[in-house]
Amino acid sequence: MRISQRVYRLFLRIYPAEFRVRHETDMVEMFRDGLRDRRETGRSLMGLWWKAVRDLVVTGLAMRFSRATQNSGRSTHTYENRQRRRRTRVWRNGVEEALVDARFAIRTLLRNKGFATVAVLTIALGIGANSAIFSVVSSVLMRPLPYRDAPRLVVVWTRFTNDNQPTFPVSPAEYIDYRAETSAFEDMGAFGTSTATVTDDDGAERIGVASVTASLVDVLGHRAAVGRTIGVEEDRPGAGRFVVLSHGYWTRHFGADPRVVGTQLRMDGADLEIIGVMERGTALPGASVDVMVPSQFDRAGITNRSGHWLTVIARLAPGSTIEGATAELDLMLAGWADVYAGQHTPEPTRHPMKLVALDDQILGDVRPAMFVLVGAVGLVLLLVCTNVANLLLARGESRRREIGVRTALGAGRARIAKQLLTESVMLAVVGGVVGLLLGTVGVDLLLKMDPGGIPRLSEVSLDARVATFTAAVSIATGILFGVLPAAGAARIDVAAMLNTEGRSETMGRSGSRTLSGLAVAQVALAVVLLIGSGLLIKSFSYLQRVNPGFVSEHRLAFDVSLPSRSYPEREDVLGYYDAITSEIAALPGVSSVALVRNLPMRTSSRTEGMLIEGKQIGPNEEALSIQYQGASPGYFSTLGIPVLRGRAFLDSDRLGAPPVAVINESARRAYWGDENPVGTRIYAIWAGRDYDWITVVGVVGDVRQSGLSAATRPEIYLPAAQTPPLSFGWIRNASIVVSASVEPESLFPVVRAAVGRIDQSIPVVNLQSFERVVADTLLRDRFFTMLLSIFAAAALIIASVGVYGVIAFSVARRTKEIGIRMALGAQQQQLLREVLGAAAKMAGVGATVGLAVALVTSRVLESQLYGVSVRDVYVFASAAGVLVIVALAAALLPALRASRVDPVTSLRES
Amino acid sequence: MRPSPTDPESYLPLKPGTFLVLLVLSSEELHGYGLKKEVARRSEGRIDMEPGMLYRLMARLVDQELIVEADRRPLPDQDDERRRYYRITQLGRDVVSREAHRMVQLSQTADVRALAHAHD
Repeated sequence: MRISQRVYRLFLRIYPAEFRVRHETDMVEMFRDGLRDRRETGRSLMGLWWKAVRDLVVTGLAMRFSRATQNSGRSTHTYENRQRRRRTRVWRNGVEEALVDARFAIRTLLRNKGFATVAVLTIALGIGANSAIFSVVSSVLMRPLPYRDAPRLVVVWTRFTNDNQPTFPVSPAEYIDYRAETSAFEDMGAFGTSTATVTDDDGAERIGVASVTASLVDVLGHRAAVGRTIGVEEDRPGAGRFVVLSHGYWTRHFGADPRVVGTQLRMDGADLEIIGVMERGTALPGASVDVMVPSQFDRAGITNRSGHWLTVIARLAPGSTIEGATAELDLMLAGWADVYAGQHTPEPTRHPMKLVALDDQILGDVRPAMFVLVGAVGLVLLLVCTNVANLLLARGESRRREIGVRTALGAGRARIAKQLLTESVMLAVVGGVVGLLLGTVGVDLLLKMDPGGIPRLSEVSLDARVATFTAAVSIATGILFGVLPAAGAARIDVAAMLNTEGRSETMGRSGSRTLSGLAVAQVALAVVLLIGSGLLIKSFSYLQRVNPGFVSEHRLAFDVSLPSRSYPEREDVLGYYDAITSEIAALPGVSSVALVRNLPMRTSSRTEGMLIEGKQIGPNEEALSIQYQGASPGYFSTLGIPVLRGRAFLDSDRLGAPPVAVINESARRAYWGDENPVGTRIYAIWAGRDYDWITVVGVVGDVRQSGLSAATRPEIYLPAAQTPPLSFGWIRNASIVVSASVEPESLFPVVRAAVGRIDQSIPVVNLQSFERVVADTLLRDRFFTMLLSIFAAAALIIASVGVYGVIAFSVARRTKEIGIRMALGAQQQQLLREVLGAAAKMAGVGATVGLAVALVTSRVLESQLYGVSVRDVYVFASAAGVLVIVALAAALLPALRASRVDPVTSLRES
Repeated sequence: MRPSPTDPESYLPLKPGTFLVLLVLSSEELHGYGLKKEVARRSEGRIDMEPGMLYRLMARLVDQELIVEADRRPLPDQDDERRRYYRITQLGRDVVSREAHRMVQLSQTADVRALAHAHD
């Protein structure tokens, strides 16, 4: 309802300002009453919109004209009026002329309803698609981020150069030291995310938690809607346990009751005081959290400099740049190398810092895809323009006599050109209004298809910027496609024109050339779009066929998380996992159950360092980087991951037994080469100094851990039961995978019940069939592929209509000529060939131009493609082929018509 | 020619929509949507006034001083205060009654009656 009203209010801009100011509120009210009535009586809203738009256009235009022409209107007969007219003529001439043109244009267009409808609808489609895409782009890319003075915010990452991780979180010790020792930043804040279980009378719920520093609240400019945010007082070590709710969580969980401030929230078994609620729209970059708690870092108590889990956001000091700040950080790190010698600490070569502007961080990923969409939809609009230009030009040709007469009667060429231009702008403006309406529908559709993973998509709406954009595009469109016919009209030779006895059987050479030129342009544009969507479709089908390295059919997975309060010791945690795995395994329809720390496709593993016994590991004694995973004995068989050498884990690989590990095929290739890794020993740096050497007992197949399109990396699995003490905290958050012999969805309720039987306070989170997990990773690719394919399909249709139009037009003009030739003995087949040949020539030239353009431009798709070259020969060839075939098919009808011309009838007609 | 404010006759004949609006307003003060519904009811749905058409007409009638915006509103709890209500002026009343008179006169003429009966 609100969006309808907003659109309606937008449309009211048709009216003169003073009328609008006075009646806008009433009219919107009245429109709303109408909406309500319709809704109550269950009648369709389309009817109301149709009437409203008609009303707006008719009365709006009428008022604008009558206002400007009221002095030259009907009462021209009095002397006074004549005088007044004369006085105003000099400065009014332009306006008056434009209005006369406009009225004439409306009348002309109304007389040619078919033509006007087709043109308006075509333009509306082009403009509608453009405003929908522009709405998305404007909200996602152009609207400022919801942080105070966002352009000066940067994300501070660390890096490990021996590893491919471009960005890595920062450890608390590093963060505190940066904050204390740099001057390039006004201030710095940090947050880390985790999950926690909230328990109340209704049961248990898993929520997202961010632990934030007080300085972060200030850096981002967060404000509280109710109560207060986390301040310096709350962030002091030992200050107590506080929590601030997100607006969404407050609304969802507490029904937006302000009295909740001051009460307690029971989270992971502890009571936290709710001190406030964040403003609506408050966000943390790249994280979605339900509550925030103060970090309460105690620098004195932090001895370990590793443990990277903080996202650090800094505000550049006035006048300082990313480059300057990076240089300062490097200088500082060089000094640290001595201060913290022997400790894990950042330094400029192997463990440097990296600053990324916040908007690049959030939007960097989607920007290229968005620009591709804008480009594609722009091409569609260009196609629309050429198509309408084609229509207008063809019509202009048949209006040559009318124009000739008017020229003979003394109308200047500029005057006539202006009038034709007015006609096309008029078409474009009406098309624009309808297009805006289509755009609102389009935005709704886009939001419904929300693939996830596109930042800020939920904030998309039509706004003033979009309306301005649409208006600009409409007018530009009008000028763009009006200019050719207008230029054509200005060149008409009047004498020649009128001499043909009101008939112009043959078209001017230049006219027909322009027409074919436009058709060629359409074919070329369509080829470009078709190639783009073809590349995406091919890449998408590759992605779908990528072997993930495991079996996803008939598998389901969910997450559990054990609070350290109720599960303090290793035995408690492992005991719980044993209990739920055997409880679930006993369910009918379940074949096997296993535990894994990082579920494939959903969470990537942690990068860690390891050493291989007896191996030279490079000049810098650099550790080999490896992804660390924990799994229970049944994991590989449950997910169907093949064991290539040696063995999988056994139940006997428990604490106290000799530590073992299984590596993946990538690790074997990268670090062992031709040697057999089974039986060799490795040292896990993350496990701590006094942890044993670990024996590799097996090699398993690669699993696409971080998504189908991400390369597999060297990975090491340790048995969950042998998780080294230092990383033990991590195993509290794990995923359970279940292999089922029935449809996975049918097991959801019994699995929930089984987990509940073991411990009511542990919620089942993200319960999904594994096929769904895999499909979800493809949603974004699917979204872009689908949109681009829709544009390509539209392009194909428009281009074929264009080719059809040109051929049909030329056949119609040449009917007499064809008739004569048939009378002189020309064969039907020959004519058919001739017409089709003309179409083939147009399509061929267009396809060639399109291929050339695509060769240059397809590179913009590079980041969106997987396993397909941006110059894939097959895609290029098929796109061109499809276009030529479609063009020939479009020409077939007029060609048949030409071959069936009856010489007698066609000659008698003249 | 612009109708003269002193001569109700110069406004005639009224368009059907204008006549109905004035007729409705001569018995009660109303806002836009109320007018739309009342006009639709009296014309048996034949005249459906969309916002643009209606307010354009209202602006013209106010210009011609046939109606004014009412300064009196219904009780606040009865209706939305933001709505603008319209009231007919004395001139408006004169005009609408002349029009009614004209119509009655017209309908009494013999040929009009004959035509009307031909329709039965």
